[in-house]
Amino acid sequence: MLLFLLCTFTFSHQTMLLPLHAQEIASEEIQATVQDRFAEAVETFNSVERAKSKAMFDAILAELVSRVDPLNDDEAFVRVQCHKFLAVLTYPEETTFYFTELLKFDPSFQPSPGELSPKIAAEFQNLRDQKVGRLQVSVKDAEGNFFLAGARLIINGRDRGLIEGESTFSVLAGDLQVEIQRENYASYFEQVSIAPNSLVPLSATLERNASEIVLVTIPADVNIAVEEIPKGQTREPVPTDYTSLLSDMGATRDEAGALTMSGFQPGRYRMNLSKPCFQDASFEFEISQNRRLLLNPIQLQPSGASITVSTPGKANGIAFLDQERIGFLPITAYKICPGQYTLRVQFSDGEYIKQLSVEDGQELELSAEPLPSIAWFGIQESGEGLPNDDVDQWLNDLKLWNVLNVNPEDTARVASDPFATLFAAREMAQMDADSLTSRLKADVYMAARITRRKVVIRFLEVAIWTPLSNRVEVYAFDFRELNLFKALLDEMDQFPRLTRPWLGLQTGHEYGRQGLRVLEVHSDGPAHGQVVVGARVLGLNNMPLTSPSQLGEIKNSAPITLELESGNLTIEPVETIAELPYQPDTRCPQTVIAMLEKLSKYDANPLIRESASFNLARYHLYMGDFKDAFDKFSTMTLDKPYGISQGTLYYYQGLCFRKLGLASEATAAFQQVLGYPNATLFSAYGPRAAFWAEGELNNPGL
Amino acid sequence: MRALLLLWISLVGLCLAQDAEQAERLFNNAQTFMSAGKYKEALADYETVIASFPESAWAPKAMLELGKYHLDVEKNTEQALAFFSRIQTNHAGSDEAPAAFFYRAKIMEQSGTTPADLEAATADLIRMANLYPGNANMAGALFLLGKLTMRQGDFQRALNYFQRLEFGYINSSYVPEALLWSAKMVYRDQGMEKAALILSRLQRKFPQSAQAKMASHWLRLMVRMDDANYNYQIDGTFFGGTPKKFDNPGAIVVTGEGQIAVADDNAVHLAFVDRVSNNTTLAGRDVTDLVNVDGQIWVIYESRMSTDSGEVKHTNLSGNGQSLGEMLSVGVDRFGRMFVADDDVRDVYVFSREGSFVQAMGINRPRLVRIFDDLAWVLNYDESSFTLIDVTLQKSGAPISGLEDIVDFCFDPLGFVYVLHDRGYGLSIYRDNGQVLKRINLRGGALPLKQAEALAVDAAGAIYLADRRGGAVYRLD
Repeated sequence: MLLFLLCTFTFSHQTMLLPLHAQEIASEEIQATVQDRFAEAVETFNSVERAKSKAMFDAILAELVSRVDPLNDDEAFVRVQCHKFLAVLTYPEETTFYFTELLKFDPSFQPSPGELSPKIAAEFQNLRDQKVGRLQVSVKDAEGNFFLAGARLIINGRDRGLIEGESTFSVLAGDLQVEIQRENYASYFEQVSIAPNSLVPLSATLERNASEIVLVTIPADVNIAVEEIPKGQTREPVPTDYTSLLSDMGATRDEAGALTMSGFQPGRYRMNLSKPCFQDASFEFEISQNRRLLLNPIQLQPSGASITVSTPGKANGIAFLDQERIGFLPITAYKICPGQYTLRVQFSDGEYIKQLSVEDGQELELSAEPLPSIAWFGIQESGEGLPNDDVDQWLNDLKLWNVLNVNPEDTARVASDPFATLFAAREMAQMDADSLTSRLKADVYMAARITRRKVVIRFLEVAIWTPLSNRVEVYAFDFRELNLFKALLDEMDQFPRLTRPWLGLQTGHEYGRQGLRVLEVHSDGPAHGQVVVGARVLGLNNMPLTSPSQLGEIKNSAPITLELESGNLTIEPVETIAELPYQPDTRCPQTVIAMLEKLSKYDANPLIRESASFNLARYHLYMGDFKDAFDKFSTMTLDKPYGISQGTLYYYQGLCFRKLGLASEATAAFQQVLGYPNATLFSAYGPRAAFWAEGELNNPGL
Repeated sequence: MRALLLLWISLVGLCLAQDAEQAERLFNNAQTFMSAGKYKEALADYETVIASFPESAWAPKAMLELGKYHLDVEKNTEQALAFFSRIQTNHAGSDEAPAAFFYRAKIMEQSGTTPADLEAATADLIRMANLYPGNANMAGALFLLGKLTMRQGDFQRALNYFQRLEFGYINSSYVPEALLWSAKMVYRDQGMEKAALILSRLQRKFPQSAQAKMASHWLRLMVRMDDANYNYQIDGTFFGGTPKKFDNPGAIVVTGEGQIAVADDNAVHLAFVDRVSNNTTLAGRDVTDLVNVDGQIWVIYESRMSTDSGEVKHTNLSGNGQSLGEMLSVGVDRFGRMFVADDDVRDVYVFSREGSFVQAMGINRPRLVRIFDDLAWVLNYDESSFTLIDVTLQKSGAPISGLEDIVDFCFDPLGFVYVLHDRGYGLSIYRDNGQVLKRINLRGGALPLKQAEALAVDAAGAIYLADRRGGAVYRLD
């Protein structure tokens, strides 16, 4: 018996571990408590302290008897067993009482041979013969006169189980209110009197009042919806009626699944079928009268797609599709079903997150790069009141950044007060930097507080810092102009324009003359050999030209048509590196360098990687990080015959040296620039670096 | 005892905080008044801040505002200088100190009277840059430094300052003008190729600026001068080219902005060269000269200089005990100094901006004075040679020689010299080093004019010839 009980409990614990939603988990916890206590009571019963177990069984029984909701199978089992143990424990005084209660609850109970001592077993059998009779129930369809399976027997309002066409039930003797229920049929009611130890037959005929639909799909487990209301999945065994139909379709019953749906009234319905990795299907059907309707089997056509993910840099990344880890980069032609996914690639220095919408047959190729991250500590409470705008949401809406909302009081992530640290000074002390970054790794750290200026006007001060520089930028926004902060965030959320198309032409507008005069044609530019100095360019893509700025407005490298006095000319501009303007008022340098750092490593376009590295070094120079700037300028190479190139790097190295107070090194660097006559500043259209270097060499001091 | 000390310290701290708050309130009030144009109330509040809270951080702010007010609104540079100097002296550590340095240098550049003033302003700015690196006025300081050193003739250094301005402050409002000056200096030192690229950059980066428009004029001029075979043609669309349009036109001038003034026997006619209407007329007879002074046209008549709006700038100037009653010609340099050729004193007299006599140059019976970049050119009595007067008022000879019967001459914005000679029948164009670029015979009948008596040239290099006998002004483009 003990073994039997233990087996029962093992089963219960397994049930408890199944994934359930929160409410179910709470219910399982109560069950476990009842059953644990029952197991403890049984253990006590089997010990030398058996007498103590009575109170334990009594308590459990009292709890189960008082339960308003119907008991589940395990609880019902425990209740029966409690009655039984108590009958044994109270022998002979209260044995009859407990067995009587047991039979009231479960008239079909029959102890296993040897489960009870012969004396007690005989007493139970005697009592059962006095209390219990049998009801033999058969259920038939009124119209077809065939046995109906799946009807439920309800006696005196209590569910006694399923009637499989014809079934016999042990019941408490006496006058019984019998109800038979079955889906799609009107319920059957009958009053029955049963004498102890007798068998009473009951034949019930049910009248159909709704239709049931049987659908079979190949494959199984297809989601079914009727009139957009989910009905379940085709998981039932396929009725034998379908065997030949399936065979005609080249399928077996094992490959198919069925779903029986009840409760349909006559009418026209639309059914939708869907299953991941299969094409959706839908059709209409009509029910003219209530009956059991077997629909023709539906075979869904398979669908599929693949995804390839790589990264342009040398980084290692782990890719996840929704919650599933799909492997290390590169991921090549990974098979997926069409649908919506979230691709997440985890790099050591950031994440790449992209929402995917994959269509049937699509072979998606993606280049993943880690997005920079922001640790946002929010706005410090100071009793001044918060802005009306939802600043937190503005941060969380950023698309090119992974925003980590950090509770500033979360000591697991923040070692010291981030507001005090970020607002302490414009230069981050090493100790403070270590404190901020020790438990929280982010590319940018941002916090805000509210202050008053001009005595009464509230300002939102935002401090921004990146571990890439020790400079802290603090912005102050008048509450009435918080849109400026939004604009700053919007600017952050744009990919910086790091390249520009270039025609290899310099032009100028002469007063009183139509079009533009060609002032220079670069020997390595796309216009070389096609345009001469002194020629006039009258138009660009059918638009008259009045200023060289119009040529600078070309957005991409698509071929353009220049209208010359001698005729039209098609030129394909080349992409070149461009300087990103340093405008700290509208473009936060700290966030720019965090973004450039990522682009320099991971962007798919090598020119953008080069430009990002170059501009990253420039930003360090402008921010006053002269040594960092020099290190970057001096360790990169830009081997190009035009535009921003090696000579430009030497020019910037000269500036760094000058800022570091190394005059002779600066001179040497500027002299190096002279060896690169085609290198330019600002962009490929910019001034020659060598010309400017001459100026620096001639005027070393301010 | 210690508790009392702490209480005293905290009370003092409280008072200081209250002072600062009160000063801030007053300063803010003054700002509000200033924005509303209520200058009197604003000035009173600023003065109270300075007088009542001299040690607060708001005192130098108020001084700076007062200085800017006197500079921009009252045009009183002396008062402005006084406030800026107080900041430099008493609040050298304040946030406003760099601005005070900058504005002082700006005033010196604009109103200095000698090269020494330029040097002092330059030194001031360099000190400011060293004392306050990266201050908010650095863009303006670099621009001023470029302009000051350019005026001192150190083009390389000036160019470098302008480059640093462009490099560090690309969006500064000073950059377009710096590019324009850079192009001019590069053109004079290194020729058209590099200068034209700077103008191109100006047009590309700042296409809507006035300087970009000027760049297109200068580019036209450069291209014209670079082409040895360039042929000037009569511009038939120019409104002045109709015979008898004017009554004996005898003086002519064109400003950089394209305003043209023609003086004839009855009046001074004003118009814009690229328009055919909206001409205005100033009453005036026997005008002897018209002068372009920083874009404003001055009318020279006997003993009086007045502007094109009728404002009398100077009258009855005198020096060495003599009055100037027959002014033939006037030139004004960038220091505001006036070089006057007068037939009564039969010399070139130099006067300060305010009209104080500076020096008689000892040039006998000069005919004309014209100035380019602080170098005064005087046409001598022989009407074939020139005397040059440099910025220190030292005389020397001019590199141009060999011409006879010069009746007028002028300069274009890049310094080319245009000389009308042979009693108005010949026109020659020179570099300022004396190299002849072009000679045009005006007599041959190819042109409709009878005899040119005056000439002018605009920013794009178009030449304007006043035909006294024909009563017209022709434009050669």
